[in-house]
Amino acid sequence: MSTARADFEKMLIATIPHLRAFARSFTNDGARADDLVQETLVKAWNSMHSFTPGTNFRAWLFTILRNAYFSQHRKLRREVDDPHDVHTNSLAVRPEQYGHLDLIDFRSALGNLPPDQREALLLVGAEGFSYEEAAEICGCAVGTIKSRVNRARTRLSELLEVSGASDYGTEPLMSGGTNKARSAS
Amino acid sequence: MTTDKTGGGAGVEKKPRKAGTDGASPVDGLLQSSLGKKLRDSYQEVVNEDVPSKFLTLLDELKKKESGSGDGPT
Repeated sequence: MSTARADFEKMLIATIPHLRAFARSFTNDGARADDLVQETLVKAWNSMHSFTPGTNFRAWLFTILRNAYFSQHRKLRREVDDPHDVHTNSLAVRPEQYGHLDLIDFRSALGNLPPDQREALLLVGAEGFSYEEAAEICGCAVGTIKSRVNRARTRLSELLEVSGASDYGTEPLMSGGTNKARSAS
Repeated sequence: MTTDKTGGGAGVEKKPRKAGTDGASPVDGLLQSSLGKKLRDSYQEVVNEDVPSKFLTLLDELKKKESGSGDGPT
């Protein structure tokens, strides 16, 4: 195995935990999330040559995972109504459920966000991608990502308002487009 | 690059908000910062989980398949 190949494998292994976390944002079913990661690894391995060294490896893999999810999702939707599917569940959330929920768990609040907003928020706020990178992963405009992140923040604050107000954070706003350094790899 | 139907740039206003200064409400700033931390923490919790060995096994299989077929996949 060549060094380039060995390096590729090393980077792949190092990214698995992040792929699992990202996959978990698409489905509540852990086994299905892991299947998605496995599929991503196979696809990445087989298209190793299409990765441009020096570009963001993690972003490249996230794009593959995302595409794998959506092509699987389209197939699944035709066959069954998947109860574990976060996207399906979120669509089923009625507006009146967005009230003040004092004791709501952060994750369930996150689960109540529209999928596109949650995704943008996770990519930028949790993974530390720049707006530009997130836009590339999602195949949309940078402005779209920014507005999704903003709407997601607003919605989450509303959902968590009561518990959040007494909860002092020490860090500044979640990361935005100017912190390339955090996601540099 | 394709734009989706939510419209690139529509309604995007990037306010240079600073937590706790005038403009945005101070509570809002606090909320955002604690939100940001919760978001990262909850995500990081999953990232920190042990990686099941099946993933490494899979990579080994992929490698074997490749070296086994001599010239690599066709």
